[in-house]
Amino acid sequence: MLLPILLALTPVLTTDSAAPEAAPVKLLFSADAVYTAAGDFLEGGTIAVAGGKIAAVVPGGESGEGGLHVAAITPGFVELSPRIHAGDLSVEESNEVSPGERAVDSIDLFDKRWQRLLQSGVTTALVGPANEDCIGGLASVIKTGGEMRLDARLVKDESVLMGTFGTQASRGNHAVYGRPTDFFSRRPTTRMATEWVQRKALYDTLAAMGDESRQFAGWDALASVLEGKRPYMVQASATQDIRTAIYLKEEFGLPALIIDAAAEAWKEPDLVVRSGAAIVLPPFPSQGRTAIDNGFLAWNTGKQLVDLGVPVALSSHGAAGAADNLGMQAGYAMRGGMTLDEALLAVTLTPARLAGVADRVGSIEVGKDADLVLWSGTPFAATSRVIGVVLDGELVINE
Amino acid sequence: MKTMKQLNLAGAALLALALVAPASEVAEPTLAISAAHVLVDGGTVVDDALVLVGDGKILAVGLKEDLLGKLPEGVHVVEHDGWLSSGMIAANATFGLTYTDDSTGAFMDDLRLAPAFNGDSKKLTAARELGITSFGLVTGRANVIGGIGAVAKTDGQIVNDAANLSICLAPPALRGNRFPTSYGGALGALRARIASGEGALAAAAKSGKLPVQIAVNSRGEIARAIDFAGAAGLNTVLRGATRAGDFAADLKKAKMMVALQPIGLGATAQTTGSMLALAKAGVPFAFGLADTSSIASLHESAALAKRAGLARATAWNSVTTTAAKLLGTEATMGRVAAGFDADLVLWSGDPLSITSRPVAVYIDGELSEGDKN
Repeated sequence: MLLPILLALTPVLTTDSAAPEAAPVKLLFSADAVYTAAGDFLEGGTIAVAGGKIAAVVPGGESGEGGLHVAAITPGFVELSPRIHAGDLSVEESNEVSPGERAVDSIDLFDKRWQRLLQSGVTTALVGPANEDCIGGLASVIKTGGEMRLDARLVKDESVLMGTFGTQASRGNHAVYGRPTDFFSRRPTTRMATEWVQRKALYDTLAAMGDESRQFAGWDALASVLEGKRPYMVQASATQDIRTAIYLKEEFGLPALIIDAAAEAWKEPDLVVRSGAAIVLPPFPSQGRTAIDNGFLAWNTGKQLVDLGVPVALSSHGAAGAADNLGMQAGYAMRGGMTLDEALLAVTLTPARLAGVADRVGSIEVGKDADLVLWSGTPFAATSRVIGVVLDGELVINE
Repeated sequence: MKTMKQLNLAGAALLALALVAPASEVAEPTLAISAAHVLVDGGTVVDDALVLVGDGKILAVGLKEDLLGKLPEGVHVVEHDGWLSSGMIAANATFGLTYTDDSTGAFMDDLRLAPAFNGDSKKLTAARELGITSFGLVTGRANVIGGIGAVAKTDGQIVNDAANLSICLAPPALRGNRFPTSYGGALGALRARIASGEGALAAAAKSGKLPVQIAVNSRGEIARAIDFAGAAGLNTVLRGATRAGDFAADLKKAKMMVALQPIGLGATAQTTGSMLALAKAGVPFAFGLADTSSIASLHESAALAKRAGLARATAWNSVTTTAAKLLGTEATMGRVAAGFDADLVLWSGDPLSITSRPVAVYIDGELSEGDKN
């Protein structure tokens, strides 16, 4: 079955020798079920890979002849909230408003957590700072595997601006009694002052956009979210923080808002729909409440929002264990009512779109990066596991 | 080790030149030191040789039997029945600095270290006694840009008062109660300074000549420093960078050098393996003392590097000629050859043996410490 496919592909791929994509078919991956996340489900399908890209997706290929055959294939996962960073060295603590900070400047590709994330099926991740500043800086999209070089890993640089609502941004700050003792003698020490800092930064940016003398460090990064050139992704778990983020979006006309760790979004579904904000859910907590601001995440939150047309992405916060990795989060979302296709989108194409990288990753389509997850059985089922991961056409995880 | 008789001919020729050339061009010899073995550089040994010194410089190196009878009147002759080598060079050190970092800001590229240098520091005496004759004067690691360093000799003189720039892209520079506290903040500000065209870092980036020592620890920091310095076009010396061997190919391609921390008897296979990887790839590396309190560790590093499997020549060069290359002084320091500074050490045994010690140290031809013969 595979040989004819190979022959059929070869002329297509070699006639235009000048084209850079004219690489010979390198690998074939076939499965009993191919979930493309692009609207197709192939019961028995083969994916041909050439030059790190998907060269063809065709029905058939059950025999496994000449290629690798598994039970199921999904696209590689896209994780918007991996939270793998250098801790307080990833965030500029000298200033609560550090929009110009580049999170990838603090990346450590040798951090073993990246490899574990890759093993769990995540092939693309958004790299942001620790959520310790009101406005933490610019996040970039990278591949979780491949060469140990940032330039080789980057998918989209400075794709999202990141900020924090709730109590986490004020942690460590303290009140000023008399003389300030250090740079933590500052606002905010409460979530209401966090809101104040956010609003002031946006107003300062509006001023800077019209008056050169009012420009400040990183103002242009904030201006870019006001102008809709990149999304503003903010952490807000508790209901009041989600409301605050949405009210600021509406007040300033922010075109693209992504609310990260939005555990309690289920309490304000109409507001979320009205605002057009996208939602990234935190990992389902094992003890009832999420780690951030004790958010209560209901099992059916994702399903409820998806049904309302809200773009929903799931996240693992870097958890790569068997019980809490991103694939399991998709399974948990299914327990809450999502269909497999909805859960699949929530860990692949939807986060890819939100991060502005859907042209490269997020689904199994010809021309996209050959990032695949190979499964032992039905994806996201508790009885299935990830047995292989293909990144840019290379089988990087083989278990 | 190889004994090169060919070199004797060249040495004799140079000597002849020295003796006939006008006095205005070539100094009169004032000192002649003979030794059973002269370690010219890591790869070259001349047995039964004589080193002729005048006006602080080495005038010639040749066979003792050829030269001893032809010396002019008044030349002081020292005969050493052992090894003679160049003085050792530390790629970095903070000798003579009372405070190594100014705490008023993180970007101190307008500060000069030379005016703060105390040439009478006891550490200089200790270093001299241990066979170290020159070093790169650098700052500590508490600031992102520490200041403009110097090349100094252990007799207290500053050779070049604007010879390097200290940068730190490791946690010690990011722990102050001031901007920056993050890698991103530090790199963003460094790039902005280069873009502004003002300050010593921008000048170093523009010329690509001034050695910039960038202190880093982990592999993430090494990768970050290589990316930053490569993009900026700096003449880069990674300082510390124990795992630099993992980046040997990148460093070679980018023409970067490494000032390793000294290795001790307890060095792990990872540390020595990294050093061997640098050597294999041809990345110049030397040892620095700025991040250790053990001055003796420079000599120990050369001996232990050889013990770890490094070629004898590379091991010795790492504390002499390669260190000089990192400092930009390879034309005048680190070799026992005509034209080089007469910074010489007479040893009790093989310089690359841990059991050997310096018995006399000359800086610019002046006997500094030890046996006055």
